Amino acid sequence: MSRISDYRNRMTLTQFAEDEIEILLSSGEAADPELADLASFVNALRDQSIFEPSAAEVDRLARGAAAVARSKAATIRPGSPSRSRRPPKLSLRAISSVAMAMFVMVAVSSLGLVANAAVPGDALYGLDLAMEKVGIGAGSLHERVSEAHVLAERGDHDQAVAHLTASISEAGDTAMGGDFAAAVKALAEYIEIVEVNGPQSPGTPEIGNPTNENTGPGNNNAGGNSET
Amino acid sequence: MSTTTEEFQSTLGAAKAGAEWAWAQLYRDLAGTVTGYLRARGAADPEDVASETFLQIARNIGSFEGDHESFRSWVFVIAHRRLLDSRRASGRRPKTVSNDARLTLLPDSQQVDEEAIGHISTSDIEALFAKLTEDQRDVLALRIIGDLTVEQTAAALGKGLGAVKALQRRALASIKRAMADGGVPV
Repeated sequence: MSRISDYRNRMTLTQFAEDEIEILLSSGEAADPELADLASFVNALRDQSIFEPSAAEVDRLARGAAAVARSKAATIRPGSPSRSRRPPKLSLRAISSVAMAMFVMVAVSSLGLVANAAVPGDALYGLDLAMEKVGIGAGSLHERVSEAHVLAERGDHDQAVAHLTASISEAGDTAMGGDFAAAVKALAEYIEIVEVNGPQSPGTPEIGNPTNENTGPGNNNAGGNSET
Repeated sequence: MSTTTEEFQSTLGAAKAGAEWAWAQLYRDLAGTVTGYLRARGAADPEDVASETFLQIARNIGSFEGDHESFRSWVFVIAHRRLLDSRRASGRRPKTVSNDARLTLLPDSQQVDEEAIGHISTSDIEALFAKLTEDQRDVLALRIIGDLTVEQTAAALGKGLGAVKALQRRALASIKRAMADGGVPV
């Protein structure tokens, strides 16, 4: 045996199997003659440390412990939920909270969709603008044009023109880009035609194709929002 | 005390309800090993700490669910914590009980038994234990006096299984070397 392995054996008893150590500690028996000295130690320690309590000591402790247990048991009313039943109760509460949160989210989302389609004069138009300010919904000039178009289809031409004018004024120079300017022009022409010839088929002037004869009424984006 | 599942559960249920006979049975079953463990670990007043341990068990037994082995393990977890509390309260390290003082703690019948053993005296045990680290003493006391398994000992001390196995091997190796070097009779 090398010096290193001898040293290791002396420090950790690695020459003995785990089972042999287990038998030694649990029963005080030496599975290997080399463990006889340790078996003597284990048995001596056990024998000298453990003793039976006196009858008087048992009575005294039993009375005290029983009284404590009774007082603790009395604080738990019959039929009241025990600790082990708390988790399901908490889980039910958590499920209810999640369900309520989901309901609120769905309700707000639905309301938001309805509000996004509102035009000036509608009850939810204020909500639409508020949502746009916090980044919900488009809120671009394209949407303003669509709103003006809806107003024009409803026959409220003055409101449509006023809304379009105010939107362009708010947007400033950015409103004068090519496609947008063409769309505004198409809408203006549509309003003029409607005023002269009566209601036309609904549709939003298609942005990006202002020269199309179907621009405005009757284009292939019937009733929809021209935004992409 | 019988340790069949049915009988233990019956005793446990009665103890939860506050029956004195059940507590007497539980105390008789465990007081010797608990007090022995506390004494071996240097508790200033092992009987007092053992009483505190059982009163703590009485306060918490309503929430205990398990078999006899689990109960034993739980009892020693509480005993170990009460031991640490008593050390903190007295603000000192575990004391080394002098041989004379220790012998006065033992019942007369036990002193007679000790003489009959012959091989390893109480002072030998004490001297051998003094060779160990605190953790090694904890492990050996719980395993030998408390009769806990490796798993139960690990749970009581808040250590891993590997750590407990390593501690017990090193502790036994130290004891073996000390016995060989010091001429302790075998």
